[in-house]
Amino acid sequence: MIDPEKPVEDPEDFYGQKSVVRRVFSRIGAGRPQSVAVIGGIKTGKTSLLNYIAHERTRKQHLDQIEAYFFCHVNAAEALFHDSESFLRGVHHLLADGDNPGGTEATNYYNCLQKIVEKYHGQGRKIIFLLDDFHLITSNSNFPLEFFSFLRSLANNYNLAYVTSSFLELQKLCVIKDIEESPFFNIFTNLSLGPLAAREGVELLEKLTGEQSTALEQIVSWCGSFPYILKIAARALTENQDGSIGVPEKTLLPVLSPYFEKVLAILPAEALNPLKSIARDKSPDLREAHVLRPLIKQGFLLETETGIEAFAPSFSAYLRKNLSKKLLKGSS
Amino acid sequence: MAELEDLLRKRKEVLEELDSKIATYAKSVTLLFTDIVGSTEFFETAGDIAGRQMIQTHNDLLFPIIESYGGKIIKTIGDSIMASFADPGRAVECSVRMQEALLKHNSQRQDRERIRVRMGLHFGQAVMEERDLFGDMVNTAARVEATANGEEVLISGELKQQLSSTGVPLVFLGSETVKGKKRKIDFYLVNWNNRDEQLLLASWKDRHGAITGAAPRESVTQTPAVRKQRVILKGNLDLKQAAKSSSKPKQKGNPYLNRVMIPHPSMFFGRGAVAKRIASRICAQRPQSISIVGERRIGKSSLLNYLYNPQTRVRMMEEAERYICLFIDFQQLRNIDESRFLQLIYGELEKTLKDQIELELSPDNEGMRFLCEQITQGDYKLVMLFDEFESVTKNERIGAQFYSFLRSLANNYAVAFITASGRNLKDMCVSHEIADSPFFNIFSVQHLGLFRRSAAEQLITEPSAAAGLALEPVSSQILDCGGLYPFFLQMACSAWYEFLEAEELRAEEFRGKNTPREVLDIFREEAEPHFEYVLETLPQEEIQGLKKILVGNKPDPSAAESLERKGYIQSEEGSGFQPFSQEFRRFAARTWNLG
Repeated sequence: MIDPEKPVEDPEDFYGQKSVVRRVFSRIGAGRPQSVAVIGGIKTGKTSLLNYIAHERTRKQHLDQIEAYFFCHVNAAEALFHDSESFLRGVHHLLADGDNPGGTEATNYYNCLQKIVEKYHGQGRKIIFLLDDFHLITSNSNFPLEFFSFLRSLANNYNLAYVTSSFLELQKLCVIKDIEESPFFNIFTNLSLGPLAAREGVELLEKLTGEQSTALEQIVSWCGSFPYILKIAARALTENQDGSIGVPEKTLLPVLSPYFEKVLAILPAEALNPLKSIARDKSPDLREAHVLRPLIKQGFLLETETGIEAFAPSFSAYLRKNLSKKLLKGSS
Repeated sequence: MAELEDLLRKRKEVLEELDSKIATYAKSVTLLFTDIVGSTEFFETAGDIAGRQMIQTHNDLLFPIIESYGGKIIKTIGDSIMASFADPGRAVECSVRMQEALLKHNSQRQDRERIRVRMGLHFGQAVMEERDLFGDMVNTAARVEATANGEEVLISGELKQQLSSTGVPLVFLGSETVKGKKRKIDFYLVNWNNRDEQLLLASWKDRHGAITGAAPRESVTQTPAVRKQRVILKGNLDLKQAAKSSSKPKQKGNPYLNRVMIPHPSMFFGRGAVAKRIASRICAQRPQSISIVGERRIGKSSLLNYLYNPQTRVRMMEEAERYICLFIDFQQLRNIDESRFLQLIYGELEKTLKDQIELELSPDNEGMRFLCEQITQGDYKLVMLFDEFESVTKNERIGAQFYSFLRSLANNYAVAFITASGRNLKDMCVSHEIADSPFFNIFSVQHLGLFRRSAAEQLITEPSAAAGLALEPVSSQILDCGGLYPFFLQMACSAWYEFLEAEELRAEEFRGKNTPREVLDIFREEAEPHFEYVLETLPQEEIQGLKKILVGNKPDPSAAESLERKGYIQSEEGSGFQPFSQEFRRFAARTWNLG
């Protein structure tokens, strides 16, 4: 049973994104570990990627001296941190593992965490924080500027780095102006998580359906290569009695539409006109196109020599048939 | 025998007569001592006339209150008042009334004009002679006063016993020995302004260590207050050993993957001349204070860290072992108070010098001054490197008088401050009063801008060659992307290195050719969010200036000067001002639809 909603947990089931994985590990594995912000739209595989990176097998494959690393994997959505203190307490708990150089009665979690990081650093160990859905932290007003300054200070002074995931650049998701301007964000290299390469997309579809045919290539070509979309297509294929998909616009578009609706929801109402142009296969007026930038960064729109276009025919078809102002942010 | 008995009897009579006569001079009194906090610094910074005026204001305000409560002003000593009261309860009430009057006075004035007074009261027998009082109780009363902080009233246990009810709550703080007295004194705080009792006790606990934790030593007897301060520096600082142990982090793979503060001198490029200039100012006969100013990611923290590193100091400074350096990043310390500020300094000294120093200092001006005095007397120099110092100047909890105090340290001792900030410190103060502080006059400003071309080329060629994938053949393409801005230059080098390494290619194959799309994609992915931030945060005048440059017009001179100082444009011979890199030009033109 294919469940597109479920993030990949077993490294064997993780497909593609080789370049992103290589780049993440080159940064984690640098003499002084470096921080990375993985940016990807909704359901583009961020959690799966972090699971993949966190897995011992993957780490062994990409890192020398694996024993020197301590990976601290935190999913902000699952952990439900309501403020900086609960975050620091949770992370401290993961690192302390029974040992507590900060003192059991200490209530200053900044000091406690710093002491334990200092201890790891003194032992020549490197700490990698994998912080999934980190935008839930930057957009929470219970996390003050001091919190982000503290995280930056740890990265500046110790062998420690962060790998975060978020659906847009972290700066764009800050609720407090001071935090948006914080030099904390300077320590990150942004890596965008776009669609898979076409070949990887076909391989994924083959694996999911257990089929091998040129029809699969055509489906990938129409759907585009985001893993979530391909899983939806694979489920439709396997659920269909004769295993064929027919005319994708009739069979697949209805099942993809709810997803595309969510993709569009991050754009403001001013995006309507430029999106209409794209729906008509015309490049939008550049004076209006800047509002589309978030979708360009997420890989749903492509910037070409001639202008801006949808990443795949499926998205063009969706825009053609369903685009309306009410789909956009701030519209009712 | 009879003669001896007669002599002994006479002696006893004389002694009894003497006791009787002395008893007519001795009497039970309540003695009040007051002292203005920070008056020395005020005289120093505001001048003698203003200082004298401040004391006159203080006297005019407090003398009538003392007299109205039946107090007798015995004398004034500088900015201190010594007054006696026959009625212990009235004495305490008077002290509360005085603090209230000062509070009202201060509430209508700016910080630098405020008068903060500590008060101490004690009850006992004193000898009166010619309108003055003498005896052990006078010394005890003075010690009680010296133990108080500004705006506090402390009383001794002896006085407490005399009070039936004061109408104000008393908080028992603890029993402590004070300088010159073996017996412990019970300290009570008159909580006239309803402060939190738990906080008071915690604060007392903090101070208690500083007061009584150290055994009295010759070196501390000169301090006028009760607090014992202690600074022991053990021999010469072994900086060469520290330099040896400051090892370079093991670097493998892409040598340009560094987006945090450059951790080691061997990885630091392009600021040699600036670093030498700063080092020479630190090494002046009296070390000079310097304010390093530059845009974000221009390399301020890395420069400070470079100067702080023992290897750099040994190489650049004569008699480097005579300089005690400490480094504090204030980025995460935006709400600290003055006491915490000083504690951070003490803490950093202990951390840096480990077993080469022993400190026992109160976290107040007195303790810090004593520290600077001891360091100067020991023929050492104290250099404090403060990163993100605007976090301090923007902090409401640090008052103008504290800056005056810091200035007095730099003026009177072998002390220098090296600060780093995004803009001139005076432009980043929480109040006009602080911005006007003469503290900022002690600094010479060192702006940090773009690299020189030779430094940029060094950054491109040396680390890549050492890592085995020389980027020298694509120097010009790298400079097109990153320009001479160190942060973006490093990104451009990193993008090229990553591309060549992944594709198993050599840079030589791309000599004189266009930058491949893959390299541009890597560079843009990392650089564009920063470009975007720059364009979003530039002042309007500079945006207009940059737009004019993009379309080939001449910018307004002040906008051009500001943009050039920040490193976003550079002047090129023959073509006037240009954006610092082709990629920045492209991004700005696209953002503003300027073709």
